[in-house]
Amino acid sequence: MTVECDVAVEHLVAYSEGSLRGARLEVVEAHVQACPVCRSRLTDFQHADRMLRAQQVHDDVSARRALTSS
Amino acid sequence: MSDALLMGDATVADATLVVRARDGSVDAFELLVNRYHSMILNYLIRQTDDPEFAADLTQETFLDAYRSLDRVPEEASFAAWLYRIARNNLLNEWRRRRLRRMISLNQLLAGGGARSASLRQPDTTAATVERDLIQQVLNELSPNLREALVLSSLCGFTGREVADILGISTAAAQRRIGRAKELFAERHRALSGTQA
Repeated sequence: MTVECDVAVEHLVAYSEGSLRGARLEVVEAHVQACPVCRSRLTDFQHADRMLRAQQVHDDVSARRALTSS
Repeated sequence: MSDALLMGDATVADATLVVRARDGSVDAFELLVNRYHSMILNYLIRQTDDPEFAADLTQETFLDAYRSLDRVPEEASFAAWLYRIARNNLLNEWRRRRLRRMISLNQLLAGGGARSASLRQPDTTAATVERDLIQQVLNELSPNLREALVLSSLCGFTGREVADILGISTAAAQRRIGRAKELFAERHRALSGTQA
């Protein structure tokens, strides 16, 4: 990410988790609507979450195999 | 509430179960194990890329937790406390393994070495290929970023909870999470040939 942006990444992470409230939520939400850089970051966050959460089931299966074979 | 009822109630707070378990209820502790076993195991598998090692560490983590129930902090979440135990066990085991590896490397150099018999046939099923790709991308991240990403995206902890587990500020945890997710997405797309 080379473009500077007014919204700090920590606020964007909190926004993506749904843990922002009140005025800060409104400010970040309005900013995201207007800022392609932040929208791109949010897409990255969702991509990482989707890929890793999809793996959880697979890991559970691997883990059960490991447990039953040990 | 009896322990039998506790076992059937998914809404009982962790703190209540901890108090019951501390008073000697095996059922209460078993419910805590059922709640968190998969999460701890998933976290350790992704941190180690070794399901058997992760399974051993998970077992060790719950044993340590059981022995230390009287030290669960009143104000902290049980999940965060449990992850800290898992993380400490992992760090201790890595230190031990690094030492063993140094010793065996010295032995190898001294003795001329032996060819490893543990070469595996590659497994090419789609799920395994994707799993390996994700692990490859995780392995390319720094340990700090990888850990923050696994706790957030895989285990589902919020930035504040990740901060609690890692012993850093919430803002620092959120910065690690954000940076890790960006790097992960960028690299994963590049390797898998997918678009944003």
